[in-house]
Amino acid sequence: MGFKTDAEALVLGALVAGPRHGYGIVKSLREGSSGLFNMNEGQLYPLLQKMQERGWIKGEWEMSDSGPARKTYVLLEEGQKELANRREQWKRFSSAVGGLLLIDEQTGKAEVSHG
Amino acid sequence: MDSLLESYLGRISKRLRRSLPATVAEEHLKEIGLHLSESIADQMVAGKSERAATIEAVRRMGSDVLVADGILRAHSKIGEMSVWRLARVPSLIVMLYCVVPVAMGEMRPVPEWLIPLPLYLPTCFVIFFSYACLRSRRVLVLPVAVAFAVGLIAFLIDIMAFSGFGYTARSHQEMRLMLRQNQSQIAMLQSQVERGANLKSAYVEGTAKASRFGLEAPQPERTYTSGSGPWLPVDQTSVTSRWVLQPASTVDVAVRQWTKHGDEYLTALKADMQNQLAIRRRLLSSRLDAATLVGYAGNYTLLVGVVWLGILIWNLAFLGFGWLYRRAVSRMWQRGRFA
Repeated sequence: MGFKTDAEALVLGALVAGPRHGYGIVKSLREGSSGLFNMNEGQLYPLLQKMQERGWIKGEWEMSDSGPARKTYVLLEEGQKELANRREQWKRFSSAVGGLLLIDEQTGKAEVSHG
Repeated sequence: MDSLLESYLGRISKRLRRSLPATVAEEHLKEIGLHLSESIADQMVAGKSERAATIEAVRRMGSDVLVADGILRAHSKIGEMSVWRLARVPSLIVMLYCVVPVAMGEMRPVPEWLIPLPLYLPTCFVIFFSYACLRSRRVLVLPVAVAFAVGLIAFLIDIMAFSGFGYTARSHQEMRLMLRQNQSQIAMLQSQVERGANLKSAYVEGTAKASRFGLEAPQPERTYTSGSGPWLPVDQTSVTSRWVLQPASTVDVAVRQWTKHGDEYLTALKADMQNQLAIRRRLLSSRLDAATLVGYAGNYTLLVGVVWLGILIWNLAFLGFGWLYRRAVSRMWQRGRFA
């Protein structure tokens, strides 16, 4: 895809549904996008670290009876605000791009229906 | 644990532990380890062998260098060492070396204590900057180590040139003049010794001739008056002049002196000259060293400026190549070249 992906927004979006651990975030992004957002997993942990420092998310070690402890990430209030902000930006962006890229398609359809 | 996974995590761990507190590094490592094990487990459920699943999981994660550097950068451990940050300190030093002495040269009169200042300050910058880089164990260890050594040597030279010897570039000219005077004094002493040696040989020769022709040889402690002497050199001013075998008409002061003191005089003269020569040579040698040092310090600004420019270019080239290398490695990982 030619457009630059906003990885931060995608991670924030993945955490809206509830707390997830690192692998869970990557998996949900991959599966949720039907394999389109196959995030480089090595980039995830620096990103999560940065987002924690900005106060958007919080990482907590979760003890488990069945396996080793896992670090899960929770979306914080600041993160929710940031996500809302990014959503607005995305809407404006997609609307602008859609208006430019899909105009020929719409015109074509119109011509077909008239013809 | 698969050996590939073990070595991969080991390399990440090594890089993280260098710059992060052990507990923080451990936490990151644990998280990455869990991530990989879940990724491997998922693929094995999908039917892959453990080896193939491990290779795929590691490939997805990316090169150990990039993963570790990404985490360090997120902790602001590498981010602060950007190209600009690396470049601006040497640039500042070069600027100080080039601009400050020129500006100070325009100031009249320049206070003595201010003269070494443009040399001290950048040198301190070099040492502290290099030390900080070495402490944080950055990639640029070699050029920085060279810079550190250069800075340290420069600092020692500064101290020696300006504090130890107490010379300033201004007195350099006076010192040269003094050296020339010393040299002329030594030349004079040497000519005196030569004159004494010539006088002796003339005396010995004259005495032998006088004896052969039955003439009276000059006697020690005897004063010859005009016309009463046994023989006399034709030209008293020249110690190498020929001697004539006839009674002298005037007193030969030089011969009289010689006959009075003999070898003792010449030996004393020679010893004195040797002594003077040794003292002056020692003096000259130390002053020449100081002069060379001060002269060097005069051109020192330019020299260190050039060295630093070299190091700066080296750093930038190193960073450039490093970036290209990492990019290439990253692409190879993504294409599964190491799998």
